[in-house]
Amino acid sequence: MTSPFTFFSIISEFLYEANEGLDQATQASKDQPVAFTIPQIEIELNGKVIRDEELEMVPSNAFESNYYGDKGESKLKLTFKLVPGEQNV
Amino acid sequence: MSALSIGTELASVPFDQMIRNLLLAMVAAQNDANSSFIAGVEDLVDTPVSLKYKKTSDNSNEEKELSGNALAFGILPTLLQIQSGTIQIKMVITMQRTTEASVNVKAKGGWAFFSASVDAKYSSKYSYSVEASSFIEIKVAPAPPPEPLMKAIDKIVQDTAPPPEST
Repeated sequence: MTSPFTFFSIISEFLYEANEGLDQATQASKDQPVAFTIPQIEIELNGKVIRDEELEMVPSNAFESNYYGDKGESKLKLTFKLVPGEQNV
Repeated sequence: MSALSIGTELASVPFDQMIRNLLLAMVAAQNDANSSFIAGVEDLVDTPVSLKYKKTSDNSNEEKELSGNALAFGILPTLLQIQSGTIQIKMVITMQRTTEASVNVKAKGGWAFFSASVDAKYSSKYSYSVEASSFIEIKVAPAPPPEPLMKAIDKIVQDTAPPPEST
């Protein structure tokens, strides 16, 4: 079962991986006549917010849902937008 | 069952690879459409068109003919461009700690997100409802070409344009 993670870890990791994916695509298609970018990513992460020493979240999946129950799940909503003039989100 | 074996069984995809592959699929599809457009232009250049008509004057009928290729008559192939794309995915997300053995996984914090689509097989096998899954929506749009590249293209067009026909 997945360990709980702090909010900082979750947000930071999503942001890092989104930028990493966009950067990889940009590098891989830099010699192509067309290019695409990602102006916006919306993420709605369902899970359980628990408190250990600080607030932590366990992203929902089958194992967590069966362990904690799937009622009263919390939602973490994130919106990443492309910074004008920049390639990365 | 460990988290890693779950990920392997569901063929889960790291989040960054999902974004990368989505963008590259758009690039490949648009390139394919562009190639078809160019092939269409070449076909039209090789397609002769001849139009015959009679020019009637006061007391004579003069036969006239206009000929050229299809492109010269303004027949153009169509080109569809991807203006925007949106993918909405219902998925379960797991975070896995990475080890030195998993060298293909790049993650700043020593662990990475993995995602797997929630389909009927997953729902049935794990008694998991789609409604409880997480949700990601990725919007994709064409990136404007860099300004220096556009200036270079303009210069090439100017330098390689055919000279105007002398009358």
